[in-house]
Amino acid sequence: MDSISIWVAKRLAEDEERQRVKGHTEEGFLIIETRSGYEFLVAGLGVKGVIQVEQVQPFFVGANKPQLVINVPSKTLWSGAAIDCIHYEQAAFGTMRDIARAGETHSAGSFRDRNMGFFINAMEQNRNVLSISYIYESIFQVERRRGGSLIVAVIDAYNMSAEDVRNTRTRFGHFDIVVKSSSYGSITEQAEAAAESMGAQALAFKGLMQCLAR
Amino acid sequence: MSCEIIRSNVIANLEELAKSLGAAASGTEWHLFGSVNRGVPGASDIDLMIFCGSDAQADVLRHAIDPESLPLPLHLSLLTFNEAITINAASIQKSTVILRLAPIPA
Repeated sequence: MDSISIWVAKRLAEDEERQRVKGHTEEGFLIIETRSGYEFLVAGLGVKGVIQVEQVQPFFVGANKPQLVINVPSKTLWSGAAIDCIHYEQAAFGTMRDIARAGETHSAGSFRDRNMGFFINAMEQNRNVLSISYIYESIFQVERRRGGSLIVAVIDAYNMSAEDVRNTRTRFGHFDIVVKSSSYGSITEQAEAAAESMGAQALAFKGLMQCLAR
Repeated sequence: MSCEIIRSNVIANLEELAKSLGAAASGTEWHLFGSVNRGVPGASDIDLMIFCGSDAQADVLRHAIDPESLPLPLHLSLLTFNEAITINAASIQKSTVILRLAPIPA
């Protein structure tokens, strides 16, 4: 096993309430068994910066294929191409904490971040939206029938602050719309001003849908 | 582990984190909210708001805080005091002030 998988196995062994590491495959994937007896394979990455497709493709060439690919540290970005590759292989991607979440689904390969899944579905259902593709795990290129394409950044926040907007720009680069994932909470005036200063808009879900429809 | 012990441990970890940040965190106010603060069994992440004196301080703290250093995933929101007051963040999130760090005199 590689050092990342060993580290992950050690961390999981500290708390076996929800799942345990049953062993590993010859490829070095961890065999995870949930409390209910469901088993799935997890591959571990230790990439800093941006995870590229070349770094995930090797996981899917052997006889055993992982249902979940995780990266440590969690701050690392997943490129759209890496995400597409993983999803094409009917697998999921995430962080350490997603091992338990994926296990709870009893279909780890179909595990998706709940917030992102909601936004993707909602955007896809908009009549003016032609297609949606990942740029990063929470940044999407949305092609519209009218009005051209937009880059939409979804942030995991109850209240969107100016720092959330600046941090999104720093981490992911340009976006046209930054939207908060929670339907509760507020967007501060300072967040709206920060987005405007970048030529973007800070919106809640309803505002995003209205914007996509234009 | 009981909910109260988890909450106490999280607060101890956050105090340690704040201490490690030194002057970068001076004058900030740390608010715990969400499931850990409410003592919900099986709380899966730490919801934390830090009220900052300026945009620059918020940016510095975002960069300096390593979420991996905590026992549970960190859901961090950094707001200036002005922003927090405007949206009534503490009241809406039913947060508890766990730390008030003294400003360092210029």
